[in-house]
Amino acid sequence: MGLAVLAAWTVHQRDTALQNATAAGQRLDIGGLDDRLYQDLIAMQQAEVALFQGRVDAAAQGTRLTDPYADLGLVDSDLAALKAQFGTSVRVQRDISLISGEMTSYFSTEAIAQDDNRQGLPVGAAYLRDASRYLTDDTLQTADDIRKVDEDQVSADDSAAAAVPWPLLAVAAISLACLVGVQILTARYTRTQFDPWLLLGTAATVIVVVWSVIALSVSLHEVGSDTSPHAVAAHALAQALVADVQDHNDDLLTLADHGEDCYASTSRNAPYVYTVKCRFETQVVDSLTALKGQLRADLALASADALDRPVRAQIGIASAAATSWLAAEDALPTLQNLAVAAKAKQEPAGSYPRYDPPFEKVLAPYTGPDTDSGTEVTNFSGLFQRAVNTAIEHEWASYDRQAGSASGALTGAVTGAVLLGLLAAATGGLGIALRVAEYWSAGRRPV
Amino acid sequence: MRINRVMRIGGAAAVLAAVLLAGCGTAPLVTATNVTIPAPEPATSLAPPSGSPAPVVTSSDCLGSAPAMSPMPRPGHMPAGSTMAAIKKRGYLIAGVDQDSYDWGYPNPSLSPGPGRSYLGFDIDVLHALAYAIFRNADDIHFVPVTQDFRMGAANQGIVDVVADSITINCPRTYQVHFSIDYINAAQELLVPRDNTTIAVTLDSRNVPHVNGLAGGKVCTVGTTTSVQNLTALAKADGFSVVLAGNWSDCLVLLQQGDVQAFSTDDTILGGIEAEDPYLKLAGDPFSYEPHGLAFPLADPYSTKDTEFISFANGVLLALESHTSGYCPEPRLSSDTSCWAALYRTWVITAQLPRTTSQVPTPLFAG
Repeated sequence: MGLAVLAAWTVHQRDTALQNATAAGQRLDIGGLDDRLYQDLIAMQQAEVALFQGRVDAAAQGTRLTDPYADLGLVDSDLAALKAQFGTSVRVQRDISLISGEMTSYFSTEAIAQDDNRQGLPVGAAYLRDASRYLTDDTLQTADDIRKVDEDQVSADDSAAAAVPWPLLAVAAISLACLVGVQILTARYTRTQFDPWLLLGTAATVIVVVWSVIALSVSLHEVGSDTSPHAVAAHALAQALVADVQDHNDDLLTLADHGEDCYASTSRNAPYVYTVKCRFETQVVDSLTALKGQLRADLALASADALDRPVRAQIGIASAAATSWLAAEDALPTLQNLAVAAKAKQEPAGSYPRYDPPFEKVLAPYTGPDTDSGTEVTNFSGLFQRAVNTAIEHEWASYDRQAGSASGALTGAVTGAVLLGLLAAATGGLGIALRVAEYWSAGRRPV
Repeated sequence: MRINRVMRIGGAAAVLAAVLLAGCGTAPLVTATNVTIPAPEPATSLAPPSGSPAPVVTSSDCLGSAPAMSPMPRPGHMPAGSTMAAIKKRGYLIAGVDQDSYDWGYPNPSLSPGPGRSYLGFDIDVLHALAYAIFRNADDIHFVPVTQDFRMGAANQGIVDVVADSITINCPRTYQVHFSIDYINAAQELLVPRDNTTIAVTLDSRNVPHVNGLAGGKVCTVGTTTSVQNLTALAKADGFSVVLAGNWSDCLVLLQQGDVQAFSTDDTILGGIEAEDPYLKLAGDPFSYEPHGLAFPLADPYSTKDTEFISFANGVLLALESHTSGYCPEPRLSSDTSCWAALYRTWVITAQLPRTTSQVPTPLFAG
């Protein structure tokens, strides 16, 4: 009976782990709490950058711009929901407190940036950069930590569900040994060679053990081979999505900043060579570049773990979008691109590029009011985001399905184990009682 | 007046300056007529010098030497085959400007500034005068915002026709660009919080500057400017460290947030910074001589004389300074002795109150 209870408890523990993992996965899914917090923080920053570019109050922009304070409200509600869900996690509670505190610093810096900008003071751009750096280096890292807590939870629960049930196997072995021992003893001390009830109890015990082991093995296989890879791929895709939104944010900052984040180096001797590197632009290009880029690395990792064809198709779309996005970066009006284009124009003929009509077209978005140059990179970023979102949703749906299937099998196993355990206990007990009665009623066989 | 005060610093310093700049003086100015001819190796390194602080000087051997064009062509009627005619044919002047220097070159906060009006400031008005002289329309300009460390590059690589960005004319830079005559003379100073009473720059009897009250502290400036070179020697002597930022506003943020104790560059730029934040003040004496000029590409394929456009620009600058009437980017008051004075009143005096005096300084044009 104890073995049956232990078997049921073991199976139930795994079932619970799978359910916890599924709940954490739902928070990590697109539109889930973790994802929402991250997206709302990024949306807030993008609204600030757009507002900075618009150089006006949010109210004056009508529906064209989002008021960053509306995004702050969303962030607050995300934090409240997370606080409620993670009541016992010290790490998440600390993260939530940090983000709440950081919002004050972030918004005060942004307020200075917008205020200076409205007055036409150039220092506003420096505060915008400062606020962006603060959000990227501090707040988003903290939000990422909450996501990691859930990712760790999914991994830990998957591991728990897929672990070999050593205590159950040990107790099962002891129980079977006891039953066989009782058989030998009763055969020795009574006239009955084989006790059918005891044999039935032993058989039921064997079935309980085999049943539980099969159920757990199926669960282990489903979690290890079918469920966990979905979670791993979803994690990698989520990281790619993070890289995407940060890259897009850097693109917006590049456009708003108009080259103020750029640094030029000059060769020491004539003829001088000028190398211009713009911080935000360099970050985007590095991230999108195959082999070394963060976004590319995340995508490759997701691709390696993706089991389903639809997910691989979406990853293919995202990869193509990243390639096009990288190409579109060359057309952005940044000093970095301008210096490269000027050098290319200068080199073949040795003449200055500013009289060259094609170069003037390159120069145009940099010198005039520029409303279109960000469209292309925004479109490719959007395409990337949609493909990855779809892939993530698919991965978590597959995860939920597989985890549900494993959980269903385990629930059935619990019921079966309990029933068989009762049967084993009843028949085993009856068999032993009969033999004890026989022993005490002088049917005792001489030794 | 601060700028005049720099001029009064002393004749003895000029002698020392001549010695210091002897290396520059012996190197010939670039007179290439075709861009395929490489510029000569600079006689001096472009890297910041090290060593002890030098006495403050009040002159330079490397000021723009091209004579002002005379007679000047009528606005809108450029000589055939000239650089100005090529620019006129294109339809607009391409000018490299600062977007980060309040009252000198910064974005127009107006929501619809109109073509050629997207930037404002003293330097921008100088460019409007140049555009008017070419097109008879001051707004035929396309502005290319450039960073401090790409000002020379934008001109050298021929991306722009001209750069107006508070550029100090000095000898090493003449190997990268051509300069106009100087149109304003500035001096490096130190900007500190208004309530600071300990940090100040003083000049000793030999006109050598000393920074007091900053030992162990930090001063922000922008890399690849002459300000770095001046500060490096002072930092070593007076025990402070120099923090390099990408642009002026980043330095202002560092100062406002208390990450540095002072901010140093030309007083023209610091005046604009002071106008952005009235809780700052200039501390002590000026400690360098910084004549500002327009920067041009070294040679131009559209001109048989590579200095032709520069002579034209010098003519425009002299016209700004002259007492005659004519186009002026800012409204002239009866008290303004020249268009230049009107620009100075509009951008510099307004920005640098209450440090101003009633006297408008006279620009020290070379040539």
